[in-house]
Amino acid sequence: MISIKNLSKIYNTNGKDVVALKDINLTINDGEIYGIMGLSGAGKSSLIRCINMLEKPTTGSISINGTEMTKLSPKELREMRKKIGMIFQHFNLLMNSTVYENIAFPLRISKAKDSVIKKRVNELLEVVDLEDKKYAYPSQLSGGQKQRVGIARALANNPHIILSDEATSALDPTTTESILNLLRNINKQYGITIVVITHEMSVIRNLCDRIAVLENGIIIEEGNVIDIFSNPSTETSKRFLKDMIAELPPDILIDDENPNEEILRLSFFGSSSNEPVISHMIKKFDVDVNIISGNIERVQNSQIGNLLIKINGDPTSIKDAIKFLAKNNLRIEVLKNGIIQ
Amino acid sequence: MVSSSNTIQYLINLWQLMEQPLWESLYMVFFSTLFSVLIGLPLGIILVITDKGHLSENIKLNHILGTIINIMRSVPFIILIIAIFPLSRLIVGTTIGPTAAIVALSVAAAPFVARVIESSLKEVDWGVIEASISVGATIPQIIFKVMIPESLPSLILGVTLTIINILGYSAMAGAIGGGGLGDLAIRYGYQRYETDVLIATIIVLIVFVEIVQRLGNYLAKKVDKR
Repeated sequence: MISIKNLSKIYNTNGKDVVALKDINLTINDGEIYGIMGLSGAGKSSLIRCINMLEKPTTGSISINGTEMTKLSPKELREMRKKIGMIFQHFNLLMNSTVYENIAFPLRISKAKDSVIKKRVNELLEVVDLEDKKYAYPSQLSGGQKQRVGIARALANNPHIILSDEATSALDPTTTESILNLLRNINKQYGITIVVITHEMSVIRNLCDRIAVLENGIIIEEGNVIDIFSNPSTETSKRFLKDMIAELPPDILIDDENPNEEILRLSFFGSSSNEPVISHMIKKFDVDVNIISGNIERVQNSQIGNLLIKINGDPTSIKDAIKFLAKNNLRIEVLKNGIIQ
Repeated sequence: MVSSSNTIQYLINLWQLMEQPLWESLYMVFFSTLFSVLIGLPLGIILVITDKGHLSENIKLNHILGTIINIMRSVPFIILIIAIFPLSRLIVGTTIGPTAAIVALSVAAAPFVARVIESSLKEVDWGVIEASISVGATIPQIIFKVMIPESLPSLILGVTLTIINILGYSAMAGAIGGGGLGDLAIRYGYQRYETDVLIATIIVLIVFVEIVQRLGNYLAKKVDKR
């Protein structure tokens, strides 16, 4: 378990204090995939680097499985780091060493025997599916292959934790997906806790169990991915979810004066997305429904749907219809003047 | 017309004249490069790792070392070599001859080597160093297993540059009794007006520089997998 308490990080540049992280409190459970989401400059990088002390926190504590990281001697810290793998946005491989030597690197640092290294590296090459690139140099690999080498290197010392610093930000969507799959498999198979920082929606959606949203060094939202996705409560998380929320196309005009017309945004998740709620509504109340836009996103094993509809009918029927929708576990927002109320 | 046997005799004479100075020059360049790298490498490493935000930040030490190196590099070599006479006498027992020149050349080239090594090591991406820290590497491990191997192509080119520089310095050492090709060129070519000896010396130096540079380029390319 990683437990971060009252963590702050203040940089001093040219005599001015810059607060990168402020009073962070987080608990990351064993075996979970925890996402830290935020825009660039939010402090994500500092936060993940504080976990393995690549950056020293100004105040606060970080404890990993009961070991207080901020109080370790340099030697103890080096031993501790061997059990915390890290992968990077730009891979950070040894460019003048082969794939084999890159993966062997942490083991050589730990002064493992050659026979042990050989066995372990070959195992890892299989895990990341790069057996045929054993003697290639990083410059001969694609971005995805480089990151696989990075992942194998991070796994070499059998870590309890893997820290992922924007590991897929430099990769294309297809490669990103395969890397995310690999990380998920590693998490499932070896029970390794994974902490990812990212600004990419797809990473959060496809990988994380829980997330924290970071803004200006402060955690502004924290919780289950599903909860935050289905009901984002802050502007930042809404902005992140923008491409998942149905937006009103600009050429659709709303006649606010017309009481027989209403534009609604519906969000639904879990089982309610499987039920023909709209169809029931049309049959039950005397209203017409025009679907303007809609989408359904899968988040982990759940579905989150968004729908923009225009209801036509007499005002009382519309009111009843909205009540009906609310009873069916839909979240409803009524649009007035093109703005969600 | 000069007969061919005369030409051959002429070349043999020329070679006999140049043979010993050539070996002296090679001897000076080889050992001066060796010692200047032995002194300059650790200094270059210290310059890098004590810099702000690096492995072992120590701004004060960095500034002091940097200033000493700059002062050493500002002193003209011909002055430095004379200033170093007492040190030469202390180490090799004499102030003249190639062996004495090696002391002066090594001391003169070491600050240069330190800067060359510093700039090569600074090319190493901080991300790679950070990755090494994250797997629990010690500072010596990072220096010898990461920074030096990663900057090896650049280091080889730096040493190549050093060899050629030292060759140039060694000609100056010749002027004050260091021996070698520089000494030959001055005594025969300049003081006795034997232009052909001067030209022959220059040709030998050009060939030497060419070989060293090409070898350096080849090796640097061979170890570069970036």
